[in-house]
Amino acid sequence: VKALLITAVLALVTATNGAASWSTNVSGGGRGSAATLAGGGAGPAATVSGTITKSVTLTWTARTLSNGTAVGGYVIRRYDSSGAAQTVGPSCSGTVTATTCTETNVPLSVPIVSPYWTYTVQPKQGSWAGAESSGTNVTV
Amino acid sequence: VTITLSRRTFLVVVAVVAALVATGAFASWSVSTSGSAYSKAGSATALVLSDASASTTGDLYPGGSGALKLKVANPNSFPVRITAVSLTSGGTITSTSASCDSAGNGVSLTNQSGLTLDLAANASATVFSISGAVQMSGSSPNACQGAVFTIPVDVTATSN
Repeated sequence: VKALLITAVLALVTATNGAASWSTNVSGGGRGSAATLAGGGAGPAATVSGTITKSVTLTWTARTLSNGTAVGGYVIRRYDSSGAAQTVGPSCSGTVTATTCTETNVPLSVPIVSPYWTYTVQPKQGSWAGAESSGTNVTV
Repeated sequence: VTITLSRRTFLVVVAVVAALVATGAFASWSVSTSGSAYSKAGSATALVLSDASASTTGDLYPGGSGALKLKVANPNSFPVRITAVSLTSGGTITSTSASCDSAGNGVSLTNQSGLTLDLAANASATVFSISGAVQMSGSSPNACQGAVFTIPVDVTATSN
């Protein structure tokens, strides 16, 4: 009788808890959405300095994701006058987290070879990339 | 009229009644303020989840987190509280962009518990926002920009 009572009480407790809740499984019930990274816009401002060796300091306006979050970094590119991409010096290479950088030892823009360099800036966020800015031509 | 029961018989009767309750014969969902109103546990209707895409805000980005949006209606005649939301076992999060999903969209859901999302009795579709529940990895493809993600979930609720 005691065993029967204990079993019944346990069953009652279980039933009391179980009766107050249920679970519903719904596929496709939740939603989330991603921001966008537009980029584009004006090219960086450029200032040339140095006498024997030349440096180019670039500054640009900060870009944000569509939700207002500042992007994590920028990629700076330099092209010759024919549009061929050049290797950018260390301080402006890779992903730049600031909104300015200075490329040192920039090759002279020789008229016959390339009368000017063109700099662009492209915003990055993780593996996302926005559109490249318009170009800024610089004669070194 | 006086019915005399032995101690053994009385205990057996108690046990049988308890067992009947346990099997749902007398299980109740709600209790009124005076007296009792009963309905069988089995008569409770599952919550109705619908498309909350229009309520998303585009807050996910690589390395960031965003809100999970749930649009829920309560067809029951009693109020309920959503207490937990978790990714359906074996469920896959998909997006509106095939190229976003093709190599893995990098979106995940952190299962939620201890929630207090309340719905009134017979509540029409209501949008809930669970902040920070959805994450996007830093390697989420570029094609995921602007995508809307469908997240299969299990929702646990209790009568409230």
